[in-house]
Amino acid sequence: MQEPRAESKTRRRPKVLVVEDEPLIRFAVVDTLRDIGGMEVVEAVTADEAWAYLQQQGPVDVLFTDNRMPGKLSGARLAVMVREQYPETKVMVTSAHLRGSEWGGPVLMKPYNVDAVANRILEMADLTQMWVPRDEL
Amino acid sequence: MSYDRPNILVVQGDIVVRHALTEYLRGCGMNVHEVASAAEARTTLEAASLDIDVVLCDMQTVEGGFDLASWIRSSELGVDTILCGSTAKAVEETTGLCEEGGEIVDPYNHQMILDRIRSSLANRAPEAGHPSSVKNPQEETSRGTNPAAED
Repeated sequence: MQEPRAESKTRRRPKVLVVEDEPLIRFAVVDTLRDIGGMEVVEAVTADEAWAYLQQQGPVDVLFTDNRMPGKLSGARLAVMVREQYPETKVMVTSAHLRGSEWGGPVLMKPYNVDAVANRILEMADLTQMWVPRDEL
Repeated sequence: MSYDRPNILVVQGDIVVRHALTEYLRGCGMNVHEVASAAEARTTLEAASLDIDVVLCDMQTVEGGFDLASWIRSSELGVDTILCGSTAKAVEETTGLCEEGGEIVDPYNHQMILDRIRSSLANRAPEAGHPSSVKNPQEETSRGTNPAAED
């Protein structure tokens, strides 16, 4: 009975950084992720703030970012910078309008379903075994 | 989100400080929402579904924090406000906004903040069945460390 406990202690919780300037949308996403559990969820209100966090605290496992936000950086620009500096971080950009963007990676179009977002983030964080869709609960 | 736990809104402009503090408070059993600006705080407070009990606002990193605190106080929201940050002292001295000891000077002491929130919640509890009980991670683990700093 000791062995599983030792294994669980050595597994680090994935860290997910959610960047969204609309607080009520951000709350819906992060509350869902925290309700699921198993990960550390960091909230940033702008891409500038997210970049500042990464520069101070180091890489996260998953970055989920809106595109259009106040500040110097767009979400797409942040995604490109993270891909260049932290290639191990899995990145997804969400937007209603992302044509012509410099970001060529995964995009989730707005409006989105919060459960679908959580599902995608869990896939990226390799935590899909923890996810049970709400309609199956 | 659970509605039998106290709802705290942390208004703090420094993401690193904010994340450490909010993780600590979540570890104490609170529902915590976090914002970086006074404008976001107003949006959050006006969302009736969130039913915030206590606002913890850092006066040093939040532009318009004073106006936010004044607006909360003059509103019908019934929300308690705790002011943090070194500039809060000057505010207290000049306006009496923190007349009931709702000011905490930097550097942040998470236990002190927890105690202050508990005090606010305890004062609110008799009014309308507000939640007043929150966990203390130190009581559970006797380690005296901030869970947010483990990673």
